[in-house]
Amino acid sequence: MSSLIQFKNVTKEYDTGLKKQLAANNVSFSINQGEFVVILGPSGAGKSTILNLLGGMDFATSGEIIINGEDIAKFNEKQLTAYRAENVGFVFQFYNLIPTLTALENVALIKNVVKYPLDAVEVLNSVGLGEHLGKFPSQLSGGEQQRVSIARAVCKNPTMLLCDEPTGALDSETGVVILSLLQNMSRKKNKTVIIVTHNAALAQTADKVIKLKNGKVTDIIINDAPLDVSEVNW
Amino acid sequence: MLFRKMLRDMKHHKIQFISIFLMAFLGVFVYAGIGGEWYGLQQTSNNFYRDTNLADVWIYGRSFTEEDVDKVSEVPGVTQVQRRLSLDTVADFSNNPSIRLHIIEENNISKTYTVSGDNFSTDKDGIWLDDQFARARNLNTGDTLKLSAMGVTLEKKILGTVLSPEYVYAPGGNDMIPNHANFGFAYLPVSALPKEMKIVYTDLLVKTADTPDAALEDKIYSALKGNYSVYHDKENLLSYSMFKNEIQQHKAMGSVFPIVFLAIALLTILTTMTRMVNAQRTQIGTLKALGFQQSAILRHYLSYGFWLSLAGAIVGAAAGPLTLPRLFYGPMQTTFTLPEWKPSISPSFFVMGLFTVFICTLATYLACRSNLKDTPSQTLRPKAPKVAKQGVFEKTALWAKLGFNFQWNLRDIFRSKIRSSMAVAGVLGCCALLVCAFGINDSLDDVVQWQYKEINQFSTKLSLSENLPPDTVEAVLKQSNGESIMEGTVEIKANGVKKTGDLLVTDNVSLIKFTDLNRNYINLPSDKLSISYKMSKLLGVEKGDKISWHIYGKEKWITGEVGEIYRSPVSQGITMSRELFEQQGLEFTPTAIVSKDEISVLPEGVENKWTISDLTESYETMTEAMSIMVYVLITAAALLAIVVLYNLGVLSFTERERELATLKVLGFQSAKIRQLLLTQNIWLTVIGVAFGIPCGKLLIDFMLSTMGDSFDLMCIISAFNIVISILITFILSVFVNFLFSGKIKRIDMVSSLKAVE
Repeated sequence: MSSLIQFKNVTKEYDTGLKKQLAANNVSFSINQGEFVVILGPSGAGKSTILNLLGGMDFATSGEIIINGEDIAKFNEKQLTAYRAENVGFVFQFYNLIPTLTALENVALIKNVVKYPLDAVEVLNSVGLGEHLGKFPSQLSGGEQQRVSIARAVCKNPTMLLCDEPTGALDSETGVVILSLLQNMSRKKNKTVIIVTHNAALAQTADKVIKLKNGKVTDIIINDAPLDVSEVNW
Repeated sequence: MLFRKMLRDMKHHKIQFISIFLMAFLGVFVYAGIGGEWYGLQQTSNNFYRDTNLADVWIYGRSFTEEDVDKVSEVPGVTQVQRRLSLDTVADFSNNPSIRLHIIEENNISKTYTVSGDNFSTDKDGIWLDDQFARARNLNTGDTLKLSAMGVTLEKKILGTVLSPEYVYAPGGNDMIPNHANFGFAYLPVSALPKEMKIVYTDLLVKTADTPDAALEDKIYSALKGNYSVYHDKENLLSYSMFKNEIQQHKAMGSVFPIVFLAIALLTILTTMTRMVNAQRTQIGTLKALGFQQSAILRHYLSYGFWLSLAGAIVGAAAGPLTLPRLFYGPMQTTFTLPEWKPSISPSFFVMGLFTVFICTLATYLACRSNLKDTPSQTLRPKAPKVAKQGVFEKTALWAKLGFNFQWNLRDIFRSKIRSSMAVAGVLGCCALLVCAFGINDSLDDVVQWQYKEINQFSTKLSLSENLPPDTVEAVLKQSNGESIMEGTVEIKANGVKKTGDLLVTDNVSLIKFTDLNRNYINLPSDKLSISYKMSKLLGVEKGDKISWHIYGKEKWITGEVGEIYRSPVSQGITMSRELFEQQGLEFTPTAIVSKDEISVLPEGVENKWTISDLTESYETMTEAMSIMVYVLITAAALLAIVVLYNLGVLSFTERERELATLKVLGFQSAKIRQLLLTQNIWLTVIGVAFGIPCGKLLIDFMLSTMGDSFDLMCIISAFNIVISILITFILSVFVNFLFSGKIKRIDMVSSLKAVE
């Protein structure tokens, strides 16, 4: 079986003018459908670069990024936008909700970019926000906002959920709730979930851990028996 | 160190700061530019009038004796009296140009201003000629001038060319703009006349200590026992009042527009500084935590608005008077004659500049005040977001159907009310200025249609020489297949108000029509006199009221009932039939013949020929200064719109960058995001335009009201020009939006998502 996502010798070079910097150096890995993956590394390891490339927000200098059999490294701006729209559900550290739209409207927004989105109310119900559909982001707590953000990502019915430090701005208790939600997306709904973090504790819960350092993959660990998020000692 | 911070901040937010600078600059530039223009005219003309000692009162009669001079001199309030003989002569050149000759005993009041040759002297034997006439006819000092009047011919050497304060605006006969080759004036000392010639003095020139009033007229009346035909003061001297009106007009326009700019500058500053201070909230907290005094921080932020507006005001006050006046002076020189055309700097420019700086600094203060009041610990934390609420409307099913574009834009507009209102104000100002500019153009153009097509239905007007025998007039009438009219100047009196106006007496004329207030044709009664609408307003009379009038040069006042009120764009006064005129015991002496025919050979007795296109052209020359004003306005309007909308675009763009980045990450194509922003732009533009059009109409009305007593224009703007104004406004608005499409493409999705708000 071929993998859902394949990075083949991907290199990303930033030219700062003074000197060239390799943010991703010959990175290769693959991710299968329905996997719960953690990309782990200290700051400056190249996590964001991998996330950007995977999310279609940046161009690789060389290498192939095969998603569903297509090499997105060869896409142009417009194709990348379409790729993001159809395939990637983003969850950000700072939620990034549109402040002038209600929770429901923030999720329903997806109708504008995806042809066949899931029903916004149902998705919000499934993340436990059925009571707060009409509230604005400023009226919701951080955890609630992050759940709206996850609902927005899920509503797209994307190929993968791409989460950038999803619990970074939350207290640990709320963080557990959010992570359980994400883990369940993978376990119960067979969604591919990729979490980028510097928090090593998360590694125990993942099906696959990709460790980065200085722009290189140092290790790829396959976890045969990942822990439940609630079992981890935070 | 904080100064360095300010400079770097300015560099960072250069668009906003440039636009604050530009607004302050434009406001003061237009104010000082047009101000320098009219103030320069006022200064030069006042100096000219003062240096040449322009008379305050003119009295015309058949003959004034030395005794009369003494009697008037003794009237309290009179400081100086001089008499002279004025007569119309014909110069010996092609087309028989007329020269108004003043023969004077002394040169003390309404003195000549020497341009070339000798200064005027009562002892010398020679003539001093109108400089403009001399130029038009290529005459120089030393040449000989041959004049004839009433059968006497006079030949004199030109000793100098001069200007006169009574001839700043001096069209001859039927001209509306001066034709210097056909009409001029000359001064001759009495001693230069042949000894055997008996001389009578027709004019008395009077200087007074104070502005002449009605009481003075009564005193002079009794001193001379009413033995004169016309008494008028400076305000009723055509040359003086026309020029004063012109200045007044420019002044009114030059004062209104800067206020629009200043208002926009304020909004720009208010929004920019509010945003800036909000963005630097944590920096302010840091500065406070470091121990900076509240006042020092306040001073720092105030200095942004202060330095920018100061720089704008200084550059504007300096550049305005240097550039704009030149635009106006050129065309004005064809209408008016002054010794020099020089812009002046009025103290009011500095007052205006200081006012601008003060207002801008105040706006900055209002913007920073709230952020500075908080304690450092509060300020170090980001501001709590405003709690939004869902309105009733937003819970309806309709709202949900409106879609994301609509919902987002509507909420966004209400979330940033100041920014939205600034956009509306900018568009409104732009649209109003455009409508006003085009409307004035249309209203001026409309006169050509109204006066020269609807009212005047003749194609040629022949002006007759004076004192023609009746059979010559009859012959001209036959030859030209025309109709005769008598035009003159009258004084009209009613309700204690006295005004000078035009007189038109018609003899079964079908080629001159009359229009009522709404421009419908009306017939005037033949047994009652009719008055023009503007004149009736000035005198406060209505149909059925009585007014008194007399012709210039005739002493007898005649009282009559107003039978009809007609509206005329360029000539205010009274009109009556020949029968009514003759019933008053006055003699009908035709001054012009109007005809539908094209006349190529002038019949005997005709002095001059005017075709409708001649008349139209002279009207257009006269309104040229106004047309230039229109171009200045259109340019200013366009600049205003671009600066405001661009600044607004930058503001809203930076404010929403994070949101837009989110949308982009979610998969919105750039075109869709651009469309989102364009939608809002279009909404706000529509609102601005909707209010801008009526405001523009108000401005037109105001501008037309500054045109002076003799004009009565209708506020006209064609549907086509309204559409053009709207179109230009929209094109500018969309154009500015277009400038941002590149920026949307370049939004850095990654970094704008990482930063904490």
